[in-house]
Amino acid sequence: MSIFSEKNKKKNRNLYMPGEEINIGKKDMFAQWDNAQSFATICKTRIMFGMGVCILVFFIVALRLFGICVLPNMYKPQNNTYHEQAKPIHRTNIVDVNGNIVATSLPTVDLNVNAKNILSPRQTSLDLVKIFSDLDFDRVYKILKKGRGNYLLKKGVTPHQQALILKLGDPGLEFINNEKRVYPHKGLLSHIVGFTNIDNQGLSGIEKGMEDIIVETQIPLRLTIDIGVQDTIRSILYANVKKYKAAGATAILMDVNNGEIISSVSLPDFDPNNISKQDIAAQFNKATFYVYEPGSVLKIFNTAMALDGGKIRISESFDATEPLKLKAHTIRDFHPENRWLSVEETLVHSSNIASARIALKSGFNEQYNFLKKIKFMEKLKLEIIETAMPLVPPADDWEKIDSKIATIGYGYGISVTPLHIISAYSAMINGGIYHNPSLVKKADNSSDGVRVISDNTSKQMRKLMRAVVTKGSGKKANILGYDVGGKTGTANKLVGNRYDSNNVVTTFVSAFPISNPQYALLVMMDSPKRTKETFGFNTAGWNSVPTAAEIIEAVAPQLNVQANYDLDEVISNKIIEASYGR
Amino acid sequence: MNINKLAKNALCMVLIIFSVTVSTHIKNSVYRLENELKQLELQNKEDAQNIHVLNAEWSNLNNPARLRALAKKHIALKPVKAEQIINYSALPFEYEAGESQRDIARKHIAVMAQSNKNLKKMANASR
Repeated sequence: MSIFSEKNKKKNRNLYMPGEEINIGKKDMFAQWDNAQSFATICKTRIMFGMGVCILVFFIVALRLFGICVLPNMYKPQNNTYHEQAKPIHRTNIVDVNGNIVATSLPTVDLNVNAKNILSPRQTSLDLVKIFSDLDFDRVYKILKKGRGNYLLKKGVTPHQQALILKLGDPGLEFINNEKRVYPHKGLLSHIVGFTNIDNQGLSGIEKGMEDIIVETQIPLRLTIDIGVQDTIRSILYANVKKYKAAGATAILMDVNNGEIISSVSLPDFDPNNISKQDIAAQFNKATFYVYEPGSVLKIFNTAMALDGGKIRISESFDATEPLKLKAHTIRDFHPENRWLSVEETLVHSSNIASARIALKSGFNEQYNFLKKIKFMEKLKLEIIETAMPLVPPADDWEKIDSKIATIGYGYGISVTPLHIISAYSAMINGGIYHNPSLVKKADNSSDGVRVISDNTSKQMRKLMRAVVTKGSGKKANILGYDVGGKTGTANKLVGNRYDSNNVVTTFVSAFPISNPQYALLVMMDSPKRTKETFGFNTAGWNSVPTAAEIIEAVAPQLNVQANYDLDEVISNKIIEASYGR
Repeated sequence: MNINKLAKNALCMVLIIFSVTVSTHIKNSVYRLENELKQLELQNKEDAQNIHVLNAEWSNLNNPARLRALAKKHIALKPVKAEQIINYSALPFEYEAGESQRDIARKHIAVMAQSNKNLKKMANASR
């Protein structure tokens, strides 16, 4: 068909022959265009599309603006990797009763090597060995030239050493924040506070015993210890250990009304800041862990037991005219009086015979139950882990063998710690209430107490204790102004199979002022020697007692215990007598 | 072109430019304040750490043995002994309960006057 046919002409209206009239109608391609309309109308779709995009963009911007300005958590700042944030200290401070810091954690840095970024292994190794004299060059060079991996090179870098390392400018040397436990008072509270290992885990003392609380809370842990009193007692005890050439000693000062331990010293001691160099023996806490036969000090409890149980009366007397012969044992006095002794004289002259008679009169049940009441058969609950279980005879032997009952009456056959003794002694003289010993201050100042003897028996015991100091072996502790009451004990140590009188443990337990007891003090000396100054004696009256006297004279003013020395002695004694009637 | 439509378009353009300017300004301000806050927080943490270290140093300097040595070296004071603290009753003044100093002085004067009167009588009698 020709392109010029009528059919094709209608179909291909784009082609017009020259001269042919062009008819512009609605069917034509520009039919929808109106020549009279504006540009905006012509491009309506495109404009609508463009507006839609702009509105969407501004909607997004508005949403982001809302998030930044109104919702604070939506926008978090990027961490600046060039400024290392300080790591929070996670072990809390331990402070004394007055708030003085006794243990704290200080920030330190550890040197870490990123071997991949080390620029010059050899030169850097040489520089590091110059800074840290304890590092071995070969070992350091071996690590640095590895080329990959992270290695902890040195712990506890000082700020000066850190500055020197930064000066080296090697990007492979990095620092990791860490903390180090320090003890500003060095060995003053070493046995009580204890120490930590290099990973800041508690190994002994309060650091171990109260690890959970120290790590979890941010509140400083307050002890009952007063570092001023602790220092005074430690320096006096240290001087006397040297004077009497003892192997060691311990002193405990306790508040009798609530069981709080104001001071606890055990010699020898150590510096927890330099633990690796210390003798293992120095880490032994004699105050809470040393179990020994205390000797005559136990006569206090023997007498209190018998008086409170109604087995004896205060006016009663006991036959000490000759040694007491038992089935397998003969009991003798150290200084025999060879006469009948009253209850007071039994303690004043420290008669083994009379004490044994009192024990036998009381019997096994009374003795067993009483010692159980004053916790001589259990480990004491304390905030440190270093507490020991007393050693007592098996119940069967104890009940059946009279000599066991008798010897326990004057302090042999049973082994306890100094802490057991002072805790029980406090109960004997404070009105009869036993308070558990504690090293940590309680928030509400409450104290759990259990009555172990009656108030009347306690008054009688106070009078007896005073008599020991005014008339007996405790005379050197009769300090003017502070009516001290107490009891001495000298126990021979078991060397091989026999007791050696040259190897003794001397104890003096006291309270002041005995008319209204506030504090109890125990001083124990391990193996004090016979010296010229003591005229060849090594009993408690020659070493533990004068040491305790020196301690009481020094610490009583610190503790605000009022002295009454200025009054006439007669008036002073009358006041003391009257106080017993309260 | 319709003037109204032109005006509307111009207004839209102005609003667009204004909102862009404002949002950019807000963004920059927030960024600046966030940085400032971060710096202050870091400074705060450093200061807290420095205080912590200083507290430890203070405790070290307050070691009782060190203070005792320093006191011995620099100060003439010594620890208080029991005999240096006395009771009120040991004071060398005769203060009876409830009497003021004036009353005691008056009593003394009265006693002295009586004593003088007696002396005068005795003197007259002897003459």
